Amino acid sequence: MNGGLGAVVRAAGGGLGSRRLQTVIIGLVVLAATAASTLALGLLADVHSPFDHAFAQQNGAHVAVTVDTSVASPAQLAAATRVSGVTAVAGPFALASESAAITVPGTPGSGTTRLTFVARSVPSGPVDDITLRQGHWAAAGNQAVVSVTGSVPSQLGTTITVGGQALTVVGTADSVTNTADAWVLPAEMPAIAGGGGQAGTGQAQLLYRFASSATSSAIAADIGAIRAALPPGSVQATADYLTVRQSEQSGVAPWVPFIVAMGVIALVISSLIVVNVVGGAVVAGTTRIGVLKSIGFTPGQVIGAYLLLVGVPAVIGALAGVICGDLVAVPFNQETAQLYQVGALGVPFWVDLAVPAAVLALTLAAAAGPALRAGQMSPAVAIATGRAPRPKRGFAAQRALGRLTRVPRPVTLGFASPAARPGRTLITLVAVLFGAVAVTFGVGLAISLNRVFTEISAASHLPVTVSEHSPLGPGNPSGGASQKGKVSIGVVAGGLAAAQQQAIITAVGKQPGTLHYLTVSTDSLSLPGVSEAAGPVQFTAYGHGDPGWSGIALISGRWYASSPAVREADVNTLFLTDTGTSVGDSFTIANGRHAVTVRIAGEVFVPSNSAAVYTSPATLSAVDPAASGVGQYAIAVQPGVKPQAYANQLQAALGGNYEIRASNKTTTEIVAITTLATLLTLLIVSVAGLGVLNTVALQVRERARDIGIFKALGMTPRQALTFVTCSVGITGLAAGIIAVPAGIALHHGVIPAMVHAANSGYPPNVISVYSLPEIAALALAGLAIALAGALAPASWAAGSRTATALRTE
Amino acid sequence: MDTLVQLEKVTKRYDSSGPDSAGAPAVDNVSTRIGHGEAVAIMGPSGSGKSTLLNLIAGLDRPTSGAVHVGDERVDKLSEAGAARFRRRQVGMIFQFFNLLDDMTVIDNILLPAQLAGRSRQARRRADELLDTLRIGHRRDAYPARLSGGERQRVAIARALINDPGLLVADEPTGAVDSATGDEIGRLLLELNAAGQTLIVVTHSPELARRYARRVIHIADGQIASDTLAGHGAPDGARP
Ligand SMILES: Nc1ncnc2c1ncn2[C@@H]1O[C@H](COP(=O)(O)OP(=O)(O)OP(=O)(O)O)[C@@H](O)[C@H]1O
Ligand SMILES: [Mg+2]
Repeated sequence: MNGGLGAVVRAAGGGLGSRRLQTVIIGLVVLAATAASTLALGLLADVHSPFDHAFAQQNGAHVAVTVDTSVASPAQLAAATRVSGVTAVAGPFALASESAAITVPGTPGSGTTRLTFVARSVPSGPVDDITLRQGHWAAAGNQAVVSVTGSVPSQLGTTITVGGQALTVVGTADSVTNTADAWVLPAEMPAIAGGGGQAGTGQAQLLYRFASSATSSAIAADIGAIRAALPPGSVQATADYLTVRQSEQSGVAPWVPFIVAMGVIALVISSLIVVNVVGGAVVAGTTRIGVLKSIGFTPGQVIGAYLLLVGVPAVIGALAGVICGDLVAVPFNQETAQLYQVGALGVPFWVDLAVPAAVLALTLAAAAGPALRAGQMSPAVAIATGRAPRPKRGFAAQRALGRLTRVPRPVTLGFASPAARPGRTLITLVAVLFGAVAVTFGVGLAISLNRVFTEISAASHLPVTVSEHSPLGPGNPSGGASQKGKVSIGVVAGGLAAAQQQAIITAVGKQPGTLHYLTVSTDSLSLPGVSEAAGPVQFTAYGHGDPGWSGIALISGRWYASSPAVREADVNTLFLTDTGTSVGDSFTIANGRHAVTVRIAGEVFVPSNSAAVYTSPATLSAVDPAASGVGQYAIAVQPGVKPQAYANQLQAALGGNYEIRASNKTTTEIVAITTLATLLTLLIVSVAGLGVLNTVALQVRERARDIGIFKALGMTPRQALTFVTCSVGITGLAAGIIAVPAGIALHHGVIPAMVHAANSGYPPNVISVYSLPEIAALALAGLAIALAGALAPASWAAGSRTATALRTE
Repeated sequence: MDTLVQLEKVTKRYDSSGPDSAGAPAVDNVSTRIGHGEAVAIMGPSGSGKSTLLNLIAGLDRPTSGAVHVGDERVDKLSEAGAARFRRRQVGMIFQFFNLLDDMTVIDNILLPAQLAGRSRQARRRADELLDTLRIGHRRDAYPARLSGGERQRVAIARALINDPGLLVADEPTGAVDSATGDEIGRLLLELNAAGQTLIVVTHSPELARRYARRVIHIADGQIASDTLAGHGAPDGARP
């Protein structure tokens, strides 16, 4: 670089630098695009990072193996720790899966659930280095530490009664791959396992880290090596981290298609606007370019100067955009960070580097076209005309529109304007189009999500639930076993005794405002042939009424017949995919010795990581006679009755032995995702608005003389406003009208991708969300964007001094 | 003769004046009257304030102090919209560089002020009349770029007259054309004045002023230096 370039930059500055508005627009557009992309990519990159972070920190187990110690000898176990490829081993730790009663201090009653106990003398180790969250590690025989992701409440002082032993919870801890629900000292294990006695029939847990563990086939090979080292039949269960990792990510996976769509729109629209801004600056700087070239500047220097002049605001915008994107990502990441307790999660560093670099590259690429045009421009033409050679386009449009004598002249003058610069008009149209597409898509997405999360869920149709008061909290009748996407052992709500049920029925019958109710029985079972990636199959039986009252949407088929004699079931999409069945097929549910063949009556919309089955109470007890029966009453209230008020009244009637809950309809998930969608839509819309602002500002500048003439001839400020507004309004209107089908198409492409990522099909009303009045309103989105963008420059035009404009000849 | 234009102690100071002109107003305490049907030439050196004065009369600009009356209107007190409406009805304007709109045909240029005033239908016949009077009927559908300087200025005059304004103001209407064409434009303006059109013309050409204006106002440094009726001494309006 020599002194010459600096001179060029200063000299060419008249083309852009002095045009502060254009500089600001480039800066803001780049800022918004960078912020949107940083946010989008930051959240996407984060899909795995909380898990990976915690996994790395804890030296998480790649593979956990449960071995039957009555089959495998201690020597064989020791041999199994030395299989090839192993980099670290922990264990064997004694393991027992036992039914336990839990009492929480200060809460009446007790709950029973099955817990996996593992004996560990210390939390640390070469594998599965458990993080202690509260309290301390078990120091005596009657003490236990519980997993924060398990089903025991994370409250110190809680009592776990198992095998006649009372254990006090003295600490809470977290194992990233959920290796246990509770940890005790090794000496305590014989007392827990099998109620004492039967020495040698226990189980042991081995935790492995392997050199090659990145793929599921590598993991399968590793597990194969372990199995080979142990006697046949001794391996009772294996769990690998990939499965857990997969289930962790699927909480975010459904959002990926929508975030990608929004991010791509943001980038496209920004590039278009940069093309228009730089193109406009070149046109505005024509005379100057001509003068510069006539006094000896080379085309290369002119091109370089323009690129540099775009570069400065773009770099500033990109830096500010990264900061904004990072800041906005904080609350979204915080939610996940809290879940994993891995401390502050940020947008990954590489995103902060890659996004601004990519946006800047895109910006310079967009600027290159018009800059090259500036370099090629003939100086003679520029100097001779004293202004940009005005394209002789749009004359015909002006003439044709001039004939429309019924339309006010300022309107027809405005409508003729876009034809004068078709290239710029087209780019503006596409920019507004993308903005309006984002609006149409965003609105549809919000409606779809609202349907999924509130309208077609049991929680909104049966908002009040009654169950027995339990320290474990109410059962989880419809949501499946995974809470917050964590794999854990399903909590089966304790069954209600006949007298309790009678009390509930009486109270509900007496209470005004009751519409109807269903009894809810739940169960979780492991079924052969159904994947257990995220826990066992969730069974729900709605009784005492029409299961359709649950509000759960049917994707196809119908609800199971309520008659106790009919063996029918409705299942979620994951169940169908796992078992390879379809609606109408028969499927034999084999639960140990109990095998029941049911006809699959319908497919229900229950996106989940676990397979779900809905059937009648009679069928459920046939499948699992040990199931605890009706655990919950789910009540629908009459229109106008507030669920919370109803619940309070019912609580008063039934007393403290019952847990009565009113669902609040807004889950944090939908709030977060709607906020994100709104944010991205707003960013895109403001970029589109800035694009319009640029176009109109250029037009007002280029046509300053025309506007001066109009005003000298008697155009009022209001007419000037009309003229300028109409010039871009027609483009905006056209863009908005095209945008509606485009936005709907995008919605119809992205929503199915989202639900498929959530392991589900979808009922039609999740997709068909656009009603005619909405479509009509959305068609005006383009116009609204155009008018908003045009407002400022149009009022400059309206307020400009006529005498000044006329002097500029 | 009753008064059409009345200026009372009109001063215009540009707040954005460069450092050289700091303090000196462009128009300095000017008072005068112009009657209906007069043809007035305003002359003076470059930068003396002629255009500024004309803009003040046409309501294109507002005086710093003083009052501008045109017909019944107090022009200096009008809002922007009011001034625009005033210009539409009362003032036809002609400029040195014609200020035609390149992307509109001759007829569309001429009709524009009428269309802005919302009276395009009535204006069609008037436009045809003007095309005839100004001898540019054959150029009706041409674009300004294809016209000669004289033709362009005739289109501008037709456009200025489309709404039958009481006052026609022209800022150096012959400044951009050769002398023969200038003569022709001068003759046209004289014809219009003979038919009763009040006329204020800023010109650098003493020839034009002498031949076609009955009254000549000389401006220097924003002030009226002299105000003479051709061969008759000072007019009524110039007396205090
Ligand atoms: N918009 C403006 N802003 C600042 N100063 C102005 C403006 N218009 C005119 N002037 C100044 O006011 C003074 C009078 O200008 P004006 O244009 O009225 O002169 P003029 O007599 O018409 O000159 P010319 O014969 O060159 O057209 C000049 O000093 C000029 O620089
Ligand atoms: Mg002048």
